Amino acid sequence: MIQVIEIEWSQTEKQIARQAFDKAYDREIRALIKEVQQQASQITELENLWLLHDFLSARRHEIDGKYDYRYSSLIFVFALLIKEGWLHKDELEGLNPDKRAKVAALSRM
Amino acid sequence: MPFTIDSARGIFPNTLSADAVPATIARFNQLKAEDRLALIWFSYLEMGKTITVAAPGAANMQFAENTLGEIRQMDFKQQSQVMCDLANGTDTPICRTYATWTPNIKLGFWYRLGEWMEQGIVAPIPEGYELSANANAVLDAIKGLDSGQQITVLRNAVVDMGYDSNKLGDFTRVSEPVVPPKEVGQRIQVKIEGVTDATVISYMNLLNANDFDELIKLFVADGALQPPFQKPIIGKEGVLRFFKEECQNLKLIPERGVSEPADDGYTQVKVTGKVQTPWFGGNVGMNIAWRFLLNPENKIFFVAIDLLASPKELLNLVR
Repeated sequence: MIQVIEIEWSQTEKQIARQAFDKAYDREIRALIKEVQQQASQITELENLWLLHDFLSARRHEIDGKYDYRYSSLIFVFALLIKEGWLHKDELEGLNPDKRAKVAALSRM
Repeated sequence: MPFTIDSARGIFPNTLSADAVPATIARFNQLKAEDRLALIWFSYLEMGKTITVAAPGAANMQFAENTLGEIRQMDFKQQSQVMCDLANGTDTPICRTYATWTPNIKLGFWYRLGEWMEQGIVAPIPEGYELSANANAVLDAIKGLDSGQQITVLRNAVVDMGYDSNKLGDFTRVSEPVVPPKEVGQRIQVKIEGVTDATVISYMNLLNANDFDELIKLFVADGALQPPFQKPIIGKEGVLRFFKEECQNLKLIPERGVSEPADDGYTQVKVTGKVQTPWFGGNVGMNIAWRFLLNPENKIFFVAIDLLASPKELLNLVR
């Protein structure tokens, strides 16, 4: 089952996908680190500290779940990343038109 | 009374315990039930490559036999449902029974189910089951822990399953039989570099000998013991129960320690070393610190047991 889906991604497509995936990941992580540094510098009360802890737990869960590099889920992952602004649809240029159309349609949902 | 249990908890504050364990369990608990079951299974298989898990003795399993027999009679769909119910803590008769068991019975129960899964008697994790990305991330985190921390995460994951025992109301805890203490001639005496305190040394020797009735005499009446990642258990009765339920056949291998005077004639002693469990024997040594607070009569007022963050912590004896 999984192999069947994998065959649908050519070598070139896999390269493009990997690059786009890593780029989005890098952007999101950098933005997150910046955000956390900023939040941490403003902590004065214990309550702020636990809020940051909750924020980190939620982000960790979200990021662990979102960056799922499996060919069966990539279309959905890319759509979400575009929707959230971590990836631009042009960065998927080179994927076959059918995949790009699916990503584009999903990202508008 | 110069110390309270609360203030005693703060002795040797530099001790770095394995925060990764509760943090990983919190992440584990966010996963859906199927993922949690599959993850435990995959971790167990992964560990099995390097570690042999000892089978539980028959005497220890007698209290789980009825439930196991009941599950054996079910079809795969029902069995899967039972396992998901346990992972979800659903209110069912089996989940209620499970909640009354001590940790070793729960571990033995899953050990048996694992065996039956391999033999095709119990519904296996479906072949090719794909963990969610979240579950994969948690599995990676578990793989990155040292083996003592891995078994603690998996143990706690299993112990926390079933119906919430706090909601059970009055119930009788079901515990494995207490093994008799070792004969005096078979007892091994520990040596701890830097520590000569008779109470601390007796604590180690009596626990290793399963001599819990003598061991508890080392404590003051309102003394307390704090197990790893738990609140202190206060009072002799609770501490004795903890020893009987969770400390049978442990092997404590203390290595070194430091002893210092504390306020009002109290003494604080920190010891580091390894602990082996009957499940894994010499295959897995947990890196442990014991932080004792002894009263002027040299009785134990408080002892904290910490699972350490890294082997490097074995050498950290500073205050």
